[in-house]
Amino acid sequence: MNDTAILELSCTALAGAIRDRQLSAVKAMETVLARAQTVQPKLNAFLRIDTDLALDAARLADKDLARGHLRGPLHGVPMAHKDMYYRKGLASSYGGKIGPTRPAPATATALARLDVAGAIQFGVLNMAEFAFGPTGHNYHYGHCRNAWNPDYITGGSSSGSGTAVAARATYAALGSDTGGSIRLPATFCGTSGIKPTYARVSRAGAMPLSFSMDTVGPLARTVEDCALILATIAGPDARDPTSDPRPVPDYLSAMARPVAGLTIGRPRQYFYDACDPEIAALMDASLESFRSIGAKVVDVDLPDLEAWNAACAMIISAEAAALHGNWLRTRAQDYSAQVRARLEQGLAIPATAYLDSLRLRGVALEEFCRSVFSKVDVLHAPVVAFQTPTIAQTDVGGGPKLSALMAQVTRLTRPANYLGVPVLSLQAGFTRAGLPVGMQLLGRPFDEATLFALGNAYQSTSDFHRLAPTL
Amino acid sequence: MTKPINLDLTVALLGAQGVVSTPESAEATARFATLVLKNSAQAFAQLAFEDEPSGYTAALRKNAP
Repeated sequence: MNDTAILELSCTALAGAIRDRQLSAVKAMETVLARAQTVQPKLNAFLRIDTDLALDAARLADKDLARGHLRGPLHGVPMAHKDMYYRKGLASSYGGKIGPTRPAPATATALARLDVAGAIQFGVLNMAEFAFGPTGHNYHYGHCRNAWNPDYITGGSSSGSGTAVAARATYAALGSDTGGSIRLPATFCGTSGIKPTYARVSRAGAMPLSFSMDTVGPLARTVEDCALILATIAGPDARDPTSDPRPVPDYLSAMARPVAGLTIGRPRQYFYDACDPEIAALMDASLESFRSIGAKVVDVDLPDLEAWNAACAMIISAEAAALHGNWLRTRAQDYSAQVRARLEQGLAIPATAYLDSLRLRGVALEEFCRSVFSKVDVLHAPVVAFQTPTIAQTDVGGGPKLSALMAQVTRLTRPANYLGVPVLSLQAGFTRAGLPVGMQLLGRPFDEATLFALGNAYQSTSDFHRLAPTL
Repeated sequence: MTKPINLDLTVALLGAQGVVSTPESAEATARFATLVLKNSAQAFAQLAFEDEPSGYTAALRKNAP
C-alpha cells in the first residue's frame, strides 16, 4: 500500500488493515506524521506533534499484535485531538495564553477510553481560544486555515480538528460542541462529525466552557468512523456526575438498520431564513438522495427558536464568565480582545435571566419533541445559511461587528445545544467556489443510532466524503 | 421598542464585579445583553410558576427512544 492509499483509509479501514497485518501501526504512524509535517505550514492545524512518543507507542502496538493481543477496535490508529483534553502529566494550552498552571493530574475520560481501544495520540490541535469562537481565528497561536483553500475559515472552535481531518493529517480528532464547535468546522472543512446528546459522553478532563451545554464528540471522514469513536467514548462515568447512566447502544450494528420508511423533516421556519441559494440547492439535493434510499421527506413546522437561541447564549455567556471570573479580574490583558469581550458579556446577564434560561430549557425540549419528533424521525437542516467567508472577512477582533458575526455564524447550530439533542453533521457537496457545505441531522435525545443509520446510508450513495483537498 | 442598556451602567456593573472593561468590550456587552434579554422576554413571561431547571433532565430522559 502506498502512502496516499494509507492516508485515504478511514479509521475503520485502517484499524482493519492493522488488525489483518496488511499494514503495521508504525507504518501508519510514520505516514500520518509525514503528512502532518507537510501540511502544518499551510494550515497551522497542530499546536504540538509528539513524533518520538507516537512512534514508540506505535512500536508497542505492533509488538502487542505480534503477541496476539489486540487492544481494541482502534488498535494502532493515529489520532490528534483538540488541545483541551487533559493528558496526565501534560498541560493543555486551551488555545490561549492563560492555561493550567500545572500538569493534568489525570487523563480525560474520552482520551482514556480511546487509549483502551488502542488509538494512539500523536499530537494536539489548534482551537479557538478557550473554545470560545466559531470561526477558527486564534490571536495567540495563529489562525487555523481551511484545507480546501487556506484563505478561508475553518470554523471553530474545533478548528484544527476540522482542517486536519480534511487534510488527511489525522484519521480522526476529538472536538467539543457548546454552540456548534464540532458541526461548524465539519461543515466548512468537509468532514463528518457528531455532537452527541448532552450527557452522553463524559466531560471529565475536558476543559469546561459552559457546563450546561458542553458536549464531547469526534470529527472524522465518515459517519461509520464517528459511530465507532462515539461507541468508544460514550457511556456513564463516575468522574462526571452529569453523565447519563443508560448503556451505550451498538452504534455499528445500528448503522445496518434499514432506513427505508424513516421520515425526515425539512423545517418550514428559521433554518432557511436568508439562506444562500447555492446552499439551499445543496440541501435540496441531499434530501433527494435521502428519498432515493427510501426515506420520506416532509415539511415540518418549528416552534419559535429565536427565544431559545437567546436563552442558550445567556447560559453559555454566564457560565463562561463565572468560570473565567478570576482570570478576567487579574489577567484580562492576556485574553484576545474578542474572547475578553465575549466573556465580559456574561457578567451583564442578570441571575434571574440565567435561571429563566435554564427553567425554559425543559419546556423547550418538550415542545420541540412534540412539534417535530411526533411527526418525523430526524430534522434535516443546513449548518450555516451563508457561504464560507475568508479569514480576513471575519477578522473582527473585539470590535463593534463582533456580536452580529457570532450570532450569524452560530444561529443554526445553537438551538440543538440548548435542546441537548444529538446532531450528525455530514458532507452535502461543494459550492462553485470549491468549498465544502455540510448538512445537519437532528435526532431525538439519545437516538444517535438513527442518525448514524441515515448518515451511513447517505454516504453509501455519495462520494463527497471521499474527496480530498489538494495541498 | 426596548431601550438599549446604558453604556455607563454596563461599565459600572462590570466594575462592581472587579472587571475593568475596555470601551470596545463594554459596548459589545451592552449590545449583547440588550439583544438577548429582548429576544427571550416573551418566552420567559410564559414560564409556569413551577418550572425549574431540573425539568430539563426529565425531558431529556422522557423523550429518549
